[in-house]
Amino acid sequence: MNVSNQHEQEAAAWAARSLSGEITKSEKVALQNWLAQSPENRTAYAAYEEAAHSLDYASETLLADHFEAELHAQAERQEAVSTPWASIAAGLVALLAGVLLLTITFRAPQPQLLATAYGERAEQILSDGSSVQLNTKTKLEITYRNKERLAQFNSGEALFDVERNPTRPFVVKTRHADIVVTGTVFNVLSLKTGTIVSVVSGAVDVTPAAGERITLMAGQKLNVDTQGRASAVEAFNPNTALAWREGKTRYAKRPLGEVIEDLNRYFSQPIILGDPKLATLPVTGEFDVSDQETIISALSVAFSLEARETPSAVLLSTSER
Amino acid sequence: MSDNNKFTPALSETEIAKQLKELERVFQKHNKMLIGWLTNKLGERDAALDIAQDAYLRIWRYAHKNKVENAQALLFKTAANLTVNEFKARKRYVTRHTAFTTETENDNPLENLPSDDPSPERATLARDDVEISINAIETLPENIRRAFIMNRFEGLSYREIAEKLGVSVSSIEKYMITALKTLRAALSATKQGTSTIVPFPDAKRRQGIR
Repeated sequence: MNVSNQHEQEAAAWAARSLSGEITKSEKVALQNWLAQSPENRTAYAAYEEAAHSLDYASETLLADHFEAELHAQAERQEAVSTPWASIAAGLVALLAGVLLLTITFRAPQPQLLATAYGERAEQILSDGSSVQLNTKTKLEITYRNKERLAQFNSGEALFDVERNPTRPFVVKTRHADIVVTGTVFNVLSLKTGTIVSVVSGAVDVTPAAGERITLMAGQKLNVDTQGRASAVEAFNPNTALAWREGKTRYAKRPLGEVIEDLNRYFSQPIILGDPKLATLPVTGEFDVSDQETIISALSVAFSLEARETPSAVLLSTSER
Repeated sequence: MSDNNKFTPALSETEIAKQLKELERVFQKHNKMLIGWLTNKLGERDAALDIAQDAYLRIWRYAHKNKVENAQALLFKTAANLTVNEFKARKRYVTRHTAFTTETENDNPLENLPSDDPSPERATLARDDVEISINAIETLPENIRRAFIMNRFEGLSYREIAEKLGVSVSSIEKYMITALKTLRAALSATKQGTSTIVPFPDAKRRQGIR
């Protein structure tokens, strides 16, 4: 067998593509066409499929070893940042007895969980004097370690005002990007659709999941999409981006569809547009997010819409009258 | 299954008390990290807490009768095995084939967790290929081997692996091509009788702690 011939090369590439977990429909079609081209292609591809499966019988052992190695690596990393009070706590806990200890205290050390409901806002001062303001429907976990202050973002929006400490960086992790600062004020909006980082003062380092580190300065913002790719750095308007801190949202010529999506973050009963054509209507204005009724009537009047309430949503459609 | 335990001298009360104390220390020390890791693997904190509890209790019981040399290693091994079991139960990973158990079977009760072993014939047939492939994959650089295992057995997409390893998605695709080519070449070489089969690597390591 000559593994360097073209059939082999292409077969290896196709096999790797089909294992990616992200193969597209058109790639699947192309693969079928390529397989249909020649028996050599089919033979080579079958051999790579066999190769991919050749370790299946060892899967549990290999995976368990891999997990075990991950745990050892994490423990080593943790060793490097271990805190003195951990051993004091361990000493105290050791005074407690056996199974009781097992069932209760091992659940004890937890990160600080901050969360808000629909329409709710909250502020939390952290142990180092930094503060976090949470906008509607936001969930994050704060863990302070010796060498790092970590905020794990589940979803939502928060404004961080971070006390400067160069030896103990403040790290915000969203599913799309890691944001590292030493002391600054910045806003993070992280939803299923991506993460937007806006810097109010100081500087922030953002590392998108699929990209290089980018430094943002005051007045700049960056959008990271669901694929972990960063947009170009843009200027942002604090007057609109941070209006939520006064319980308001402001828009300047934004399409209605986008505006409603943004407003729905505040409402347990979402607004739905009855006609997709309405989504492009431009909206300029300020809304008080604590008052869904007024928002709905304002939109209805401005665009001649009719609101109909269903058990799960408020439907806005073109008025018949 | 051998019967090593009956040759192990019974542990004295003081020895047991001492190692239980050591277990407490180790559990407490790694609890937070372990639960974080489990939550990350399983996607939910409740399941993570359950598995951690299960691991603690299994080891706790084990330590009443058996000598524990290295509590941390035992904890990580038990947690890793329980996580693999949970993956299997949830059908989270791609292959349903069972472990290459006959060589690695041992008498550690912590590892005698239920599994759906293949028939002895199937296991023997597959074992030749598995040995060759394991030897081949262990020659690969760490990151390539990890990428292959995460993709095939943890069921992660290239993008997810790229995030974990801190490299680009296209690098992962290249790693996978390298891994597949290496496996393909090893399997094909043996079929032509040009390769020497060496013993199953690290069988001792896989047998775990005594």
